[in-house]
Amino acid sequence: MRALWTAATGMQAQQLTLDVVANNLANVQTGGFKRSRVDFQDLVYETLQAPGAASAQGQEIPSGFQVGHGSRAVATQRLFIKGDLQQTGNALDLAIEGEGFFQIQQPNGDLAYTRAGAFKKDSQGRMVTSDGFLLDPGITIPQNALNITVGVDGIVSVTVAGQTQPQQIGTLQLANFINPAGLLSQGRNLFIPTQASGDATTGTPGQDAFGTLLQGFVEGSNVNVVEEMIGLITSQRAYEINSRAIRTADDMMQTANNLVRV
Amino acid sequence: MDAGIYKALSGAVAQMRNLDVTSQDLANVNTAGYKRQRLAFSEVLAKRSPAEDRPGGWVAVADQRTQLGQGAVAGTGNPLDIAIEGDGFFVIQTSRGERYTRNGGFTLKADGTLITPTGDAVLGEGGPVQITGQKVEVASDGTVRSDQGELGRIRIVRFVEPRQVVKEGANLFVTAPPNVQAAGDNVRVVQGSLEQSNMSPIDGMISLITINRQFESYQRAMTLMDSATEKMIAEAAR
Repeated sequence: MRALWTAATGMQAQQLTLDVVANNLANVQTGGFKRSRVDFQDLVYETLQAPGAASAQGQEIPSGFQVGHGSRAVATQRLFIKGDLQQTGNALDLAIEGEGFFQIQQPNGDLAYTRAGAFKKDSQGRMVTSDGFLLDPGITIPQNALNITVGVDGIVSVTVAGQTQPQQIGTLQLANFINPAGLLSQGRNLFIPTQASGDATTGTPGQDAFGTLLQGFVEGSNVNVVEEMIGLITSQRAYEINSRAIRTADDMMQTANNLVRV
Repeated sequence: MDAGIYKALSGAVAQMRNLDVTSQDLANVNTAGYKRQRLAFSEVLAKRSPAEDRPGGWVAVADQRTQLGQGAVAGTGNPLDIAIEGDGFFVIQTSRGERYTRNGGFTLKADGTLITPTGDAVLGEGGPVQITGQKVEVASDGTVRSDQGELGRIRIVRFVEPRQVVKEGANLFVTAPPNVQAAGDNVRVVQGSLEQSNMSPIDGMISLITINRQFESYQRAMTLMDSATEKMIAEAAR
């Protein structure tokens, strides 16, 4: 009976949804996290009777008969919807209002991209992520800096002890992609470009389509707990009903077995 | 042998087919843009020769229809999720020709072409839709705009005879080109939303119970007829 296998594909698809929802929920407090979703498609159909074929009486069959083979997950799509901005008051917390990613230099020298702008200073005063990866282009904050100001256009200026005029120490750049959904997650809030995302285009915050920077804020996770809970409920129910289809197939086979009384 | 046992058997086989179709619907209860299918059964007349004057009673699958009814439209907030309200379909360019879908969960290729998750281009009025720039907006008539201006219009079609449409898997439908025409003004597209499957789990549950019980009834009938034959043979031999 085909129904058994069809229902099994349905259960597998729902399991995968659960995995993705669980990951989303686990990152509900992760700054700059972007939620994912699973896209499903129906599997190929076996056409037992094509519509429009002639029946034995010489009449056309108006609609055919097709039996499908279940469903499958085709893609997990990352949704780059903005997360809520949270005020922290920390001078090195930066949020992007609009499109764009911060560029991060990985230990192997390759660039990765992130929306999580909770930066720190390392021992040499360089701006780094929580993992110690360097921000690119690099910004080094002088030892004697009293305060740091990051403008909406990415210009970083500091006031050093003994001076009244702030001095510029660098400009932050943002990167963007034609298709951010095609980026590959690296973990640690980092994304790397792929064939699907296209190459990064870099620019100054506020210019063209790039967003502006907001100092003292971080972008929260874009996971909405209520939305995920609904996803959890629907996938659990779908899992359940597919298991019922398997049970029905099993019951029917048992009934068929009982045809012969031994 | 009495024909009755075969009639009951045809009924049981029909219910097995019904379960195959119902479980396909249930496997896709969370597949965006999925359209459920419904089987109709008919009595097949057994009368093949004039001498035979007995009406039939055999059951066969007469008809299967894809129920193209609207699924619920759920907001996702993703600008490239587009739902259709009304009897329209998106046109997808595949290597096998034009295909049609109600699943508007699209994404982009690196060159900005609007594609399905399996990589086939979504067609606009003048070929594949190319997205450039940011802040993509899709109007209710399918016109796509971004900060770079108007980018084209997503092609929406409808079927002249919806019953002549065959499912191909991957959320795609296929039909002969004469069966396709431009959609009417009553069809709207909604950006940031996805059309859910139109299969209801409640209907599925009821179908499962009905199928199971009917199958059981046919089995009872077959067993009964078998014991009647057995009894007849035993009595006749005495």
